[in-house]
Amino acid sequence: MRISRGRLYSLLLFLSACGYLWLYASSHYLFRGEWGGCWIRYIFGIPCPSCGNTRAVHAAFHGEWLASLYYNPLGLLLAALMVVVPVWIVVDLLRGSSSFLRAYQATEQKLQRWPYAVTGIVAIIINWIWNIMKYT
Amino acid sequence: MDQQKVDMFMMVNNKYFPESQILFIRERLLAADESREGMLHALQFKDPTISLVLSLLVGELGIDRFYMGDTGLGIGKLITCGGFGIWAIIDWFLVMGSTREKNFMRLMSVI
Repeated sequence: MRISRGRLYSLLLFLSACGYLWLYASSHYLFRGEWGGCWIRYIFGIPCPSCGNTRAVHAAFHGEWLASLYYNPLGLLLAALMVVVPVWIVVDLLRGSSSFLRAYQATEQKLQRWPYAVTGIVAIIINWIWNIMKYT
Repeated sequence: MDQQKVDMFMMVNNKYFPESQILFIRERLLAADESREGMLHALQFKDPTISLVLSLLVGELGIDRFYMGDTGLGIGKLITCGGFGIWAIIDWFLVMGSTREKNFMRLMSVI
């Protein structure tokens, strides 16, 4: 049932590269007024729980922590992941170890237990309500 | 395991596994010990059709990935608006195969 090391590492490196590309493109207004990256907002006109994350990550990378928290608290988590995950994977690949894979699987197992899952779901719903209040 | 039991199992459950692995699974089940039967019946497989429906309706929130047991990637999908909407669309085409693959791996961990 476990994802293989090579598959997970290549997928996450690809996703991180896409994330930085998206950040670069959005900061240079390449998509201005066309595609905000969210189907829910595009179709229903209401933000999803992660809307505002691009701005939040941008703010976090410029050291504006409070602005980042205001745009979307998940942005800080995303910014941290975008920095830590690629570095950890590259270090793992250079050293031939699987420490990231083990940490990923342990975190995944922990999050599947109900106290963590329920806490996560409640936090996401609260954040979603706040997002709807902010962006509509 | 007894051939009749294996055929019955395959008849009921073959929609949960990748087509390319059906013969291999049958061979493995035939070669498996009788003592594995109890564990085999206790296994719960994820339905690829439900994965597809979840992917179409709430794929942008990563719920299809959570359903499959891919919690890490589900969170990744959730906090990036479904990979800026693109990953969510790609998953419409991949999610059924991935669910069958997951079921196959779950079965292999038992037999």
